Amino acid sequence: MNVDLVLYNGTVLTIDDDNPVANWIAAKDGRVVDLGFGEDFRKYLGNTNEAMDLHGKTVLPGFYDSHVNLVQTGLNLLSLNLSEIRCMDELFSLIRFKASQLPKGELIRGIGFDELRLIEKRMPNRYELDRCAPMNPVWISRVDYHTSIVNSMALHMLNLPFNLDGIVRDGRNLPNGQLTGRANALVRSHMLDRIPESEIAKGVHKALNIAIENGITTINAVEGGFTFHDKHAEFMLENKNSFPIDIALFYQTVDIEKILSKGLTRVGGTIFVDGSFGSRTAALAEPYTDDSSKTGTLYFSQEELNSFVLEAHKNNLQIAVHAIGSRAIEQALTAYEYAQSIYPRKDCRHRIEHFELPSEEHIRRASSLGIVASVQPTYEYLWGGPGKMYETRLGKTRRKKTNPFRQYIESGLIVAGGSDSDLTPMNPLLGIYAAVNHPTPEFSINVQDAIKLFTINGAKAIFEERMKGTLEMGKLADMVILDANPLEVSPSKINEISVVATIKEGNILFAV
Amino acid sequence: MQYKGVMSLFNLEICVLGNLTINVNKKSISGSISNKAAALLCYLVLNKDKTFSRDKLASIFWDSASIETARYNLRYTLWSLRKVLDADKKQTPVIVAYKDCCRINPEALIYLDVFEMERLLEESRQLMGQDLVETLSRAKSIYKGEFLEGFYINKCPEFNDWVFFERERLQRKHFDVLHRLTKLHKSAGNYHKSIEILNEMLKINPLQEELYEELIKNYLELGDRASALKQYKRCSNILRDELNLSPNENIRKLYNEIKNTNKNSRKADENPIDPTPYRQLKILFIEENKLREKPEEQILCDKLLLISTVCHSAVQMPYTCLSDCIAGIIEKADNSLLEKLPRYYWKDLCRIESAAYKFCADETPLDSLTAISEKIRIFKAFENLLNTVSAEVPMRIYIKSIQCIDRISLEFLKFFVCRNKSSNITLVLEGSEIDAESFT
Repeated sequence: MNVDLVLYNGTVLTIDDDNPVANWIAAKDGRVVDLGFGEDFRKYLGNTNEAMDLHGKTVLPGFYDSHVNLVQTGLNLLSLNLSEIRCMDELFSLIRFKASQLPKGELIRGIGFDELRLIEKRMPNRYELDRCAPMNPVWISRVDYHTSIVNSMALHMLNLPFNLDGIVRDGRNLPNGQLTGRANALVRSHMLDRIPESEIAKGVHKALNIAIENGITTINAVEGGFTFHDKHAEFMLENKNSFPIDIALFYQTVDIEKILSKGLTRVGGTIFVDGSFGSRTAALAEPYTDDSSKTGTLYFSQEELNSFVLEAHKNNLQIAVHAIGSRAIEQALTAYEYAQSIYPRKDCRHRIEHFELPSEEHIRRASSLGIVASVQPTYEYLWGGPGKMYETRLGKTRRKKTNPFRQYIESGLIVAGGSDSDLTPMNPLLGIYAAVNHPTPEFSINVQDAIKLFTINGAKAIFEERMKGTLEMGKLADMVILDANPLEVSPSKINEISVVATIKEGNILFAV
Repeated sequence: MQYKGVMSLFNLEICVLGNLTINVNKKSISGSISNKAAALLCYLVLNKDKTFSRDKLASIFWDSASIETARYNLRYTLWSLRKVLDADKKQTPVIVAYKDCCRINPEALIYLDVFEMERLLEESRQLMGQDLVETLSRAKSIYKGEFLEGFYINKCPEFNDWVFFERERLQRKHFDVLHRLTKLHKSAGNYHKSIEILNEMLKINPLQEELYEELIKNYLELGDRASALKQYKRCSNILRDELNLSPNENIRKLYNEIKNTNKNSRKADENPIDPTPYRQLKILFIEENKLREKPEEQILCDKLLLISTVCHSAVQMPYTCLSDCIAGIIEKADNSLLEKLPRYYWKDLCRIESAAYKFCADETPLDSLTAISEKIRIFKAFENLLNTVSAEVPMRIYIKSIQCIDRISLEFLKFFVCRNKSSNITLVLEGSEIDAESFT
């Protein structure tokens, strides 16, 4: 038999429980056609387009990243990154420099701005931005995307209705360039609307290259809706067949008619039931440790969430909602239970994105509902453990309750791993490392299970396990080659493993 | 000066609401003067009752230059403006320039849309009824866009602040006109007019909840409960998508009132709690090529059986589309499920699709029937096949180029739709010239 690709002399970790390991693997027409041990691969060497001697390297199924704000990640890669600045002068110099590189009239987009990290602890006003870029509109997004700062040219261009809430004014009652709340929402909508499709495409392809270099062959792109733009979801829909790797779109809207009219089978992603620990808006049962006046925010009433979930559920859609704090998780589970009680469906795999602080009871209920917990282990790496953000916000006792991955798996939940890029990098190996080296040891999981988060469980989370997620005969030949075997290296060294090559349906997309 | 609303009386006509246009004796001079000159002219005309020192104007328009350069630039700009504006020496000069100051000539015949709008608003204070509506409508029609829309002068912070100030002042007047008009139309029973204006206002600010509330009330006045509920949905969707907020209490209360008032007289499908499992036939009509996701890719959802077929204008043989659908179901549905359909139905399906033979063993149809009897048998057999399968697995049947469907298959679709309102099937009909009403 002729084949297209043979990988041999390595360790193929198939993640298939029946045949967990092989030494070689062959692909033809995008699918795995053979795999095995020993020297059998030699029969293909004369009949293949490409043969790769692995020299002992390790092959895994191509990685899934189950939660990516893909367009936002791409656009941010093309924007002026303001996250590292420490004073106003640095901000002004960066904008001045950017303006000097751009044609007159072209928009300067700044991202990641956080005035709390500046010596001055304040935001710039539009006159200051005018002086840096008099010939270009400037739009700066605060790190949480909840505030925009624009210069006069941008403000002029935006044609905002002045009766809008959130236009911050100076002593003369004129807009000072800062826009929050509704004004920020409208500005984001107008500004994102102006970004041409070619720019979105450029950003997305840049982001996809990063994903591919990290071994990712399938992304769950959560696009549209609050803080993002429906245009991004539309872009993904229109171009989904032109991307080098697979993109499963989660359209973030509560408009079920829209989803059905587009022939989609899933809805949501980041439908915010609550906020985040960082902004103290994740809905907790007890107040925040560092601000006892706050317990977070529930953005839906139970009735509203029930109504949305029921409508989507009745229309046979897979649903994904964002819930971090225990009160939000309670609300999401109640809504899913409500929908199931009225219209029982089997194997609907509704999802809860993040699912960071559930109670034991929540885990049991989620398991009996067949919920997919779409988690981001890298959160624990960045924010878990002593002295980090979780401890600051939640205190020493509660931070030891976040992200109990082992309990999820033991209770039978499908646990899919993601990055939530652009919040954390698209790097499944870092995610695997973080899940194995969980700062709360009793929540850590073994390497095999951690790999499953980013392979077969990712596939299950979007009903693709028959096509992808393991390396088996007939499945797609989506693979990643690593320079070391994660099952053999010390757990503390997993994040030092490198991706050597990424293969999508038998085609080598990236190789060192 | 009293403006009569007749622009032909004026030598200089300036429209600043929307894109800037400047005409002298009906001819546009926009290409003959610089942006700074146009800005200076607008500034002087809007402040026609004021006299400005040259230094003040120089500092407003040439802030970053030295005072000498700024004075020179002003002198040159005034000269170039006057040259174009006063080309006809018989007419009254527009700008009066003295050694240290300048202003607009009070005798000059100038039309400015802002003045006309303000005059109409002033006039409206004395009016009532239809006269008031007409006058406000005229004021509304003058407002063609934001003040000096798209007209931005770099490095003129004072001028730009003045633009923002004027823009807000005029925008508020315009919103006031729109609000008054919606109320007047509503109180006169012209609900459609009122709705039209409310929708215009929502285009400007789609996040203003009170407007949705008004829309709902207008639709209720029209007795159009469905549209009223749709406006609530529109409001909640946009607030959720843009702000992650629920509608305010007033609107929620109004919504609940509408729901509760009509609770007993409405169909069961509007009742949020239906104790029986929910099954409803859905038909989606989609224009050609508007369905973005390829149907094959939707099969990824395990629990949805998707059947797709394309109709071709060149293939108009009876039953072609039905035959394709049967073949699709046989290919994709589990055999155990298909075997639940009685054999006699499979026999009838064999008449149009040979793949059905495998489910009727050797009992192939040998009887000869009239065309009508055969059609009835096939229709009933296929109806039962669809219901048998969809009782276990939700189905989506996607028919592309529906305008090319053969006559009998189309007849079947209508037959099925009218007899099976509660089946778990979504029909997606993509194409042009779809007579949607014929399915209801």
